[in-house]
Amino acid sequence: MLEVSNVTFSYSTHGEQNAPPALHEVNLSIPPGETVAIIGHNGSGKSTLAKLLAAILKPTTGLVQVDGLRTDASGEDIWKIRQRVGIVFQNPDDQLVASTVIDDIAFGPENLGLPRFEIEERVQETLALLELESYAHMGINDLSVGQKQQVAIAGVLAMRPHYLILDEPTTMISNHTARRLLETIYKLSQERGITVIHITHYMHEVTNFKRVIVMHEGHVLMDDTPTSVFARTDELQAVGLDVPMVTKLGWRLHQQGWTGLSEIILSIEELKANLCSSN
Amino acid sequence: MLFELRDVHYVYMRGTPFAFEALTGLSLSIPANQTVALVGPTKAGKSTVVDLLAGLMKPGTGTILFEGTDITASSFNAERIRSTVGVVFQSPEAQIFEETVGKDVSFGPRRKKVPLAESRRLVQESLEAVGLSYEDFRTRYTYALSGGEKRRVAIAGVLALQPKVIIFDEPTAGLDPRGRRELLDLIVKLKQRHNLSVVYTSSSLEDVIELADIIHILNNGRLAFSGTPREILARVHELTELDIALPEAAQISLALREVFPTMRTDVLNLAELEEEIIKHAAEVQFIAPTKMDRETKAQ
Repeated sequence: MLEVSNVTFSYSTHGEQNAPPALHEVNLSIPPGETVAIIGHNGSGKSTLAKLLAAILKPTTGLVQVDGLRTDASGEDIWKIRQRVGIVFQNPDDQLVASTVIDDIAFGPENLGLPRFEIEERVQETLALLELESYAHMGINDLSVGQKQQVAIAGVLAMRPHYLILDEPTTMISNHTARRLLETIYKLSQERGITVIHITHYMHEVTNFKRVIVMHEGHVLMDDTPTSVFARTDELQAVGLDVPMVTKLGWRLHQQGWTGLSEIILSIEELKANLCSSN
Repeated sequence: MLFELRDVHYVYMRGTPFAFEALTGLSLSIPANQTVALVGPTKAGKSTVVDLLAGLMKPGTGTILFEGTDITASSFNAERIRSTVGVVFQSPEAQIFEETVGKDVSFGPRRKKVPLAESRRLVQESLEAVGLSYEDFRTRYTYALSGGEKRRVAIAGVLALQPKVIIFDEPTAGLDPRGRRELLDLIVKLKQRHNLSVVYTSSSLEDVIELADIIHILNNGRLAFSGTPREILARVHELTELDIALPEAAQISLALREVFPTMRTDVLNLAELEEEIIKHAAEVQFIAPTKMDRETKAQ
């Protein structure tokens, strides 16, 4: 369980009082196995929240706990948190440390002090999971950004985290690569039971998630299922977000008397199914 | 014709084991005063074309004509291209290097030895053209700008050189939806106000479908095909084969062909898509699903 209790976070140092806090009295709890998307425009506080959950930042006031361990503790507890929570940053160049794919994936397990055979086992397993086998011995510098992003995720997964936080992993890669990456992440959550927290500013990426949290100016604006969140189009547009075109289309057809269509359509597949079933 | 490329080849690291042929016989034309999009998957050669058009590199073989003059000729003065063509590179924040916004935008005019008063006027006009107030931003530190502001400052730096052509190399990558919308609107506005020619590269069609006059689809270092946005969208199967993502409206209409087999895929926006669906529903005597249908089905 990830628990955020009454958390306020401010980047300003003690002298400055005027900067508004990046997060303001946020309360959340994310049970194990859940898939959560956190969405908001730039500056809404979503990345700050990610860093607080990963114990990279500590709350200015309030409490963040990972399976009951406080992120503002020191020593042993922080090590335990770091093993349980993995984070993938927006720019993979920020977290790739080795010169080849295989060395980079091994870096985490090596630093957990695992025996050699287990490191090898984990590396092979992760390569297979992300279908990176053919890249195993390639240099990191010869990879595209999308491939680097996959390697960054592989490196985190090799540490077998319980919670995987992805901080805008798709902003630097093409739509097509992004879609494949999201499919992999979804598969991981289903097959491995990993708790996935996906941070993004694209609405079309959140439709597969069980729960969507909309952030705005440091507050939680909405916390609900994708369908309920997408129903609030006007409020979303007011905070600089937008629903996918297919949702708008479904809504417009519904308004024109196609009342057999669901009011809120999340994906093209759903629209197609809705149309097929009624003819 | 602003640019004309004829059978252009370009090899990186020629003569080494790492040699890579980025352009493999590319021929295409870029007319003046239009918005021309270069679209293709990664490694299609888009960024190589940008460097060639900007006069930063010369082609290995082949010919590039700039306003009718061969730029590969030894007599060609590269200064001519550089004073006409401005480039906003991919992640333009990387082309900002001065301490303050004012200094950064005035870098070009200062290098061109533009008199101080004139340079100040250019900086002010350029900043205001990209929607940043001169008084507010002139003294701001460049490192403290947001991603969207950095992009605007980089564009202002290019505008201050008064180019006739601006090349935007994947300018919306990494921006949030609002930032992307604002940047696209800005490009349209700048093109009109400054009477510019715009070259725009992108890996997807989404950005350019309502922006471009002509789209060139590149693949493996050569031209796959060209056309107006509507002509391009009609060739969905070729686009899918090239792994080029369709714009949202076209994606939806393509998927709906399973319900309405003759759906057009060359719809540019939501309004056209909606019209097309309603038209087809009428043609195939499709009964718009009503609440009663669904309830009967459910029983």
